[in-house]
Amino acid sequence: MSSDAAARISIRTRYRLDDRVILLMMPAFVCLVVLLPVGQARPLAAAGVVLAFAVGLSGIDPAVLLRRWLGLTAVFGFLAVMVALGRPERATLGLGPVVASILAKNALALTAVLTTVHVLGLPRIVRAARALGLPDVPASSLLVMERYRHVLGEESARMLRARRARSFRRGRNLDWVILSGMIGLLFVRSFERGERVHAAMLARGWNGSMPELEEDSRR
Amino acid sequence: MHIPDGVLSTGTLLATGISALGGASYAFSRLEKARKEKTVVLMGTMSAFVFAAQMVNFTLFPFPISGHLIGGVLAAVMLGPWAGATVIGIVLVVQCLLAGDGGLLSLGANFLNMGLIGCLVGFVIYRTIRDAIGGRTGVLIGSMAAAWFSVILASAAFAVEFAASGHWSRLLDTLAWMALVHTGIGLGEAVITGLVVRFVLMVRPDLIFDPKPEGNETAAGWARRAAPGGLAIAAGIAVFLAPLASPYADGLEYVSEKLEIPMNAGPSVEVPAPLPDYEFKALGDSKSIATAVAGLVGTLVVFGVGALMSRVFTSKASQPESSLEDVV
Amino acid sequence: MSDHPAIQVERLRYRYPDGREALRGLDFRIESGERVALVGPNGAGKSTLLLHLNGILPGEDRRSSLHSHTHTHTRTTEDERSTRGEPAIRIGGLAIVDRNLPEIRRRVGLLFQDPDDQLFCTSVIEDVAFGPLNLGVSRSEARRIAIECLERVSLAEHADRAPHHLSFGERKRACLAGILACRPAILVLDEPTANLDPRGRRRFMALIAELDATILIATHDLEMVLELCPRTILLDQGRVVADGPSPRLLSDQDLLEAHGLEIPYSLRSRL
Repeated sequence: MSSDAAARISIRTRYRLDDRVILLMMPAFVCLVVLLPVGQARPLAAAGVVLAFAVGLSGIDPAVLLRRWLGLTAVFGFLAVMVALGRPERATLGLGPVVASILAKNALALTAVLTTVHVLGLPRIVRAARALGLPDVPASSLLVMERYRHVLGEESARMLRARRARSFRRGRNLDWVILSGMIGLLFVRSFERGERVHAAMLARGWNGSMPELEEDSRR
Repeated sequence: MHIPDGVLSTGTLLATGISALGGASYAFSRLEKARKEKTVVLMGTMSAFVFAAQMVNFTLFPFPISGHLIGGVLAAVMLGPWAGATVIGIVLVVQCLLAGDGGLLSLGANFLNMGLIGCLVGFVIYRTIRDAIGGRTGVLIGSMAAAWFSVILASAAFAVEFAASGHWSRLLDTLAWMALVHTGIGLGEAVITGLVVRFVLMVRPDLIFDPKPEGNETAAGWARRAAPGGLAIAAGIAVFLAPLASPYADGLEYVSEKLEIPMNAGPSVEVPAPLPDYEFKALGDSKSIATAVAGLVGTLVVFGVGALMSRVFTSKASQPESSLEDVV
Repeated sequence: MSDHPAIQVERLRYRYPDGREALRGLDFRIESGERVALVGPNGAGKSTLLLHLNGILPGEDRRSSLHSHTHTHTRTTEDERSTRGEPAIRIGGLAIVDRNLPEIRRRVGLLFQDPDDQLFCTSVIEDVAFGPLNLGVSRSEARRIAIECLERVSLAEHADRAPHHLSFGERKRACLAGILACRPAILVLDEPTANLDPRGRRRFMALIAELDATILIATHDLEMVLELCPRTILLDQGRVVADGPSPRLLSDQDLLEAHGLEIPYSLRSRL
């Protein structure tokens, strides 16, 4: 998925940006958006156009972004109102525009992050971040996490299904004790999994940090 | 709990970002020294575990409310404070990047609240109570109390960060609301953490992180170890009581004073609100009282439920006593 | 090195940290180039034994107790000696002690039962290159080796995929590629055919049959043993119960039934 998107970018632009540059562009853009003045539509619109261009290049499905944004806005809307209440601009512009522009900023920041991650994918982000100075400990842990997120997620889903299959109560309201027991079991399994993975790494001569196969963060 | 982008002011973002960065790099250097290879793998699978565990939803039956484990104290109890904080940091980064949950620039604040306060302060509280009570009961009640207080303290930290972003006049209001909302979340987190820890204590007690206690400890040594925990607990209680002083306060100095000398936070002098922003005053008072009551009741509930849950350790005589008994 | 046996195990004992005895004095030797099956019921100690063969067990206990041993020159009984982990295993004449571990782990390739335990990188090719990179091979050379090994298990076209997008059988073969990339002289396989569908099992067996190495396979798949391994070691309750030619051992009904196994179908007609 992500490599497809990256390939598309490189074909369309005929330049391939260094992962590190892409990774640095993300926070730069987010900073810019957050620092834009509240209540002025034009700079925000300009940032939106730039971002829309990037989204188009990335090939990410805008519906995915929209759904994600809507899901988060339910929570964020409340905070936006809280923030707007304390902004001095409220006196001149009124509450509505201030809330709207805070929401818009948030949407732009969110879209920028999700688009970047879609283009690079987590493993390449970690590698690029490492090239930019991220220490070994978190970098290696992040890579292990990315690999086992799916494995343990499936395990968790399997356990929930099995519980449901044996539960006589209707609905999803399983007993807290049962659910916590499941989490406890999942914890024990994850820990043991970690120990086996560690053993498997030692078996292939591991020395404590994930080796890099790529020549540099570019591909 | 995840602060999105656009809520905090630039100054607050910088301050929280720098302190989070400092805390994180200190944690990494601590981990670098101690059995690095295995910790790196375990932190990876444990962060994956937190994601998987968050798929399990707990519903509060008659209400349409559901929540899930946050996991900060659980990670700290199982892996130790520094690895626990790193695990939560990884979870926060990935939630931000993959799901847009929590803002990119607010990552520092979120890590400060949930990673550093959640795991480090949580661990300090856990250790103090565990050592005071002792045995598996101590581990259980300690982790529950730590989960409870660390959620409250994290919410208070958010309130302070929010207030520092140009809302100083509403500090105690925000604090009261945040604390009130988080008594529910905190109770849930305490109960889930307790149930999970209890399960692990019964099945694999050896997995619980336990750095070697420093030999024959003197009373002074114990007091030194317990002092930060006591202070953190006091701060947690102060969060509930501080809003009672609502009309009197006007800023961070006052609150930080309260955080350090919590016992003074009790009765307050009723003075007319000095700031025009106090439209919610009438509401504010009942809310402050509600927060204080909820906080104290919640604290009692956490310890009560913990004591009830730990009965499983004493009632089952057949259960082999774990090595944890010897540690204390 | 050629006159040393590939694997030599002497009075190997091991206790789990919780005190249960897993191995109670194992003795056997495997010559270079042999293909040996290790059979026995669940809990017999097979997997524990395999983890000893490249020094993952007894783990840190060994190091710390070895230390204390060298410091206190006390005479110990044989039992204590082996639980303390004095070298009870030699790989090609090399004792398993800390300073030999890198070399031992290069020589012994260990295939785990669950491929997800072993495919810990975020893409297949990185995983296969993991071993060579740790051995200090350059990146371009590691990539070349990885692709070559993936071709051997016919997974070259999946090199850039994430392991969780592969089927179980593909993951299993990717694990094998990862081990082959370390060019081990000895391959130790834990249940290589478990959970594979018949075609996947066939394919995996064909791969093993082609390998030019000393091979030790722990398995319940006795049909595979008959096809691949001339010799079988039967393990139960941490002891070697029988050791001999596979066809003879696997047709001994009383022996097999006493240890929770049954005669493979292909041998029954001969009875």
